[in-house]
Amino acid sequence: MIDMIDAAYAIALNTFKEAVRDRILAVFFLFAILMMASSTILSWLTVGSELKIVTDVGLAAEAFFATLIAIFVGINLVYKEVEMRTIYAVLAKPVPRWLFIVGKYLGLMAVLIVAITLMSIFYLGLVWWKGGVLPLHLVGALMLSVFEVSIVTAVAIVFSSFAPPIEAAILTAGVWAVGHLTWGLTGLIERIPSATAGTVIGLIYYLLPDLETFNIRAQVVHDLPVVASYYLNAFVYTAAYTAAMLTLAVLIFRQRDLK
Amino acid sequence: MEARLTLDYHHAGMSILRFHNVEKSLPFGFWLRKKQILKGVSLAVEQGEIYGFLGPNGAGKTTSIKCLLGLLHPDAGEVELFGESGPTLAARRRLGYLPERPYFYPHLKGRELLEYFGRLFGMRGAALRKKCDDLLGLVGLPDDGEKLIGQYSKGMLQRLGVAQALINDPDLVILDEPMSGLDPIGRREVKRMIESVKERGATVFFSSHILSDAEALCDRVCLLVDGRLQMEAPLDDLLGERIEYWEVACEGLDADALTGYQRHAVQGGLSFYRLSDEPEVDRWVDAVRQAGGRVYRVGPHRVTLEEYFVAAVQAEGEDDAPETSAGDTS
Repeated sequence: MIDMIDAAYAIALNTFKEAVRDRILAVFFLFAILMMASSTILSWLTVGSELKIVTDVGLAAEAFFATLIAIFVGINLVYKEVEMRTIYAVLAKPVPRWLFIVGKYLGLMAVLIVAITLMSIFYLGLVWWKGGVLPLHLVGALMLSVFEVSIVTAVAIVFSSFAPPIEAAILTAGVWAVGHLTWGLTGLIERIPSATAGTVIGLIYYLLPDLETFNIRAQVVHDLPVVASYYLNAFVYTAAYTAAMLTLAVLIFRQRDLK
Repeated sequence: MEARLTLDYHHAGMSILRFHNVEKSLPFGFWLRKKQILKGVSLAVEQGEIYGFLGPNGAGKTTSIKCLLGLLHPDAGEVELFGESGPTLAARRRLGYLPERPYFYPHLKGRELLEYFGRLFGMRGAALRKKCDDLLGLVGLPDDGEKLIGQYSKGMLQRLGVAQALINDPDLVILDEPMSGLDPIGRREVKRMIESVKERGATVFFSSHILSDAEALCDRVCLLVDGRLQMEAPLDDLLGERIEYWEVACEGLDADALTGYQRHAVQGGLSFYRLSDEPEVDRWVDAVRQAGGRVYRVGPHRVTLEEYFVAAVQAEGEDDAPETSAGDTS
């Protein structure tokens, strides 16, 4: 068991090193900082709402760029290893395929947590500079960003386990976009007259992630309360959905011939 | 490790690796049409030997090795490693593998790669660092461990590949074309490493199409042609002491001076002949002396692995030809 933990740590560490030594991460990071900084310029256009603009744009920028990193690094996680033939030497060692997937996921999550933390330090500094207080649910919103990218990373790994990067990127971005709209399906189910159509829509709702769960920007900007159980539910949902996606990725990858 | 080897494989003839009628098809092209690569491969590798897995390009050597390691799933048949069915985790713990044309993470340094692979075996701390130092020294990269792999030459990658294959002191080392891309010095060093692996009691299974290397190293070889095993035999049995012909040379004679002997070649004033056996050589020597010439050289020519290989591959091609035409006409 300790050997398995060691192996998962080694794979995660390698994934982390690969990502942080890649220029693309620095580019994304730079753009995120620029976008957050630009929110101060935007705030000059809205008299009396400067802090709200900085808070809103900053949170949106952070979530958006964290998602971009999750997609662009995630879609290559498995595919690139197969394409570059680096995986052969790894899987010839006592590393089960499921552990390889889990290690890759943990490595990318470490990258994302570091990236979100660094972006958050800049962002919170910006909010503080604009004279804002730092409410607890601002930190909660940043935590929810981590939950969201956990799901996006797991989805990207599913697609990376069988599809080339471009296809995987399109599919993952599609799931992410639709994931932010699925909340509307619940209303549709109530209004649609056909029971069958309702069941199908309900199935789609439960299969696709509900990523709007992780968006509490409106509450943060308008300083509305967010109960603690909301975060707990979001955590449980994230853990369950991520586990389901990683299981799916393992099932696909286990059957795959590595030509 | 030596103690473990002694316990498990103390008696001769114990197979450490087996293929039982392994078949594998892989999809190719836009329509992903399946092509059968392995057509019922069976072989066995004994503990402690150097086994040469030979065959021309495209014969299915790498596919076989991937089936052995679990990178590909055989369609039929079975692979056994250390007496267990398939490449179990326990079996892989005792195995080292060098992939064909190895390519490792360009973002890592050579030492980091060895440390990464060492951790996959549960190694850590000072013992792991020492092992990495030893291996970098063994493969001739003692000063290149801190260089990024992206800056390594093809030969350095191959050496690093050999080092990572030995990180766990394996009982069985599988090397897929270990000499490819190496200069003569690199090839000599890899040969030495293979011999040292054998000396410490481990088994080496290596694929190659460089036959001189196989001839110099192997205890036994098999020949894979078009997904089928053509033969599997000890190298001595295969080549042995059998003399293919006698090559003799003389000087100081005209082309027609020796009647009854067909000159094979002329080079630098020497006439070369190929004779079938020793009595014929004796008669030829007498004939040269009687004609006033001088015998320059007399020597037996033993069959080489390369000649055996070429003959076997050509025979396979000829065997296949009628079947193909029969199929075409029907």
